[in-house]
Amino acid sequence: MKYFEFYNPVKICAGKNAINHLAYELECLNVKKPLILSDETLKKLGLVKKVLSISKLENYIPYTNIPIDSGVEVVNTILQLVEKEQCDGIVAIGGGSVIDTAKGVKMAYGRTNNLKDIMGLEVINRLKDFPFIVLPTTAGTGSEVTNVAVIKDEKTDVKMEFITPYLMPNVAIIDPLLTLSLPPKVTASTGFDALCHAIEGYTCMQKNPLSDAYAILSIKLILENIEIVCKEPNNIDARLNMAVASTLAGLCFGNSMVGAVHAIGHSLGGVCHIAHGDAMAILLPHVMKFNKEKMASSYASLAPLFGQTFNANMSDQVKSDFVISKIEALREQLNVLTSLPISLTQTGKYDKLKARDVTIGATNDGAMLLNPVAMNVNDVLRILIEAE
Amino acid sequence: MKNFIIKIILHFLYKGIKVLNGRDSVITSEIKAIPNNYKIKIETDLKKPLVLCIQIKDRKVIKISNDGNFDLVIRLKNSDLAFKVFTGQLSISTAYAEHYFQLFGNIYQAMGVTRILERVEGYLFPKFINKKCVKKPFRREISMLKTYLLCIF
Repeated sequence: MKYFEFYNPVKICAGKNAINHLAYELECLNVKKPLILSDETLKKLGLVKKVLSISKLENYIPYTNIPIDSGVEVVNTILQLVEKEQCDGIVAIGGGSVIDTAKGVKMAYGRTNNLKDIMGLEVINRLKDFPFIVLPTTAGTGSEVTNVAVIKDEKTDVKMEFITPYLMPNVAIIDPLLTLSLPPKVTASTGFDALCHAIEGYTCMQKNPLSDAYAILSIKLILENIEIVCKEPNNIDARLNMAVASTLAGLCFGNSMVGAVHAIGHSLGGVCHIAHGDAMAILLPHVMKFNKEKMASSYASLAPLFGQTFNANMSDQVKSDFVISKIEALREQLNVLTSLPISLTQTGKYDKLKARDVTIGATNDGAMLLNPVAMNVNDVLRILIEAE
Repeated sequence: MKNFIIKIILHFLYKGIKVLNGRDSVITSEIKAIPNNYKIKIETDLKKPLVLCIQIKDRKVIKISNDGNFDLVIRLKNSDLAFKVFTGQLSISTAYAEHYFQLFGNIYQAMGVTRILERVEGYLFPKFINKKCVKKPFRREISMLKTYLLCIF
């Protein structure tokens, strides 16, 4: 890496009862009538109501019809609502789909009626700002601090990727109370997603010294807390640590991007509908083994975080093997604790006959270009077979 | 001078894609996967760029004029970077990693195009340059000399 860029303008408010700061942050951004975006599940769980009542918001427009796999039509509907109701900001309460939808609205607002016009890499310029606050309800995506959004075109079934600094939120409110309702399996799965963001962000081609710093702290926090939070779902401190770790991993990969684990995971999600975090947990060790020869020194430098005591005679290859074995052991432990799937078969959704489609989708994913070792369709196929 | 060199390389890049389509199995299958009538533009600078505009029509590669809309535009942020990329000093993956270009269009479809460009560079440059610009070395299906001869005649 001879040249790198690092950008993050998001104000982070983190801690127990951080949601109490929402009203103040809205006032700072001069938002009088926010659009509240969320999904039906969170509405039913009472999380949306809880945030609104704590914030004592009175003048707002709610929209909770965001599906798990949100798309352009949803963004367009919301844009019309924003215009009709004269909303002057967005508050997104949810996971990846809700946050990506909100990012779509922020990007398109005042710029275009058709998101397709602005898809691509670093293609839009700063325009009139549309205040945007995020309250993540999972600890995994890191989307609250990243410059990436993936939004589906429902008509063509094509997932459009947007990478630009101008879709980022103004404020991220990280409150562990919002993640308390996550079931243990989802906690483990999203936690592994965060771990994968940090490890891939630490080893992919766009890595840089600043993203490395975030990755290391994120990995440390995840390793210290993921089992605790799965055993004790109401442990607020562990929940907060996991939420912060996820944000740190987001700060890392938002600036370093990710690699083949994500490329294959995205494709498994699109073709076989395997949950993203599950795919990350299944694939991570296999891709690390594939990359190991080239990335041995990077993986080896993570060994102390995994409990490796210093031994000057130990080679990088041995330390890398140690790190990979520790990740496999963690997966197995979480599998016992939460039924987190650790093979494609265990997901119950993997169809071998669709493996070829998965390989094509994976090699066409932007993340694949940044994997430190080139991977073609046959390499992906081999990894899928190993992960079965 | 740099612009002159880039202009020559862009010409050979186009010719290379054209002649390797049908002669290199990987490039042929990548082009087969690109939608028909797909228009690609490569720009070498933000201001007064050199451009290469091509279209995939009926699985053939044709040069087109710089008019109308393009499905994919790859724009290098300045001509120095373009020089490095097109002279093989920098791989397309590294250029992507180091924020050296903008990409207008569908990133999923763009990945096939970046693989084609990298593989064509693998044919046009000698092996000691390929170490820098080709992420995974591969065995050429026709020789470098034959590629150039086909490009010229």
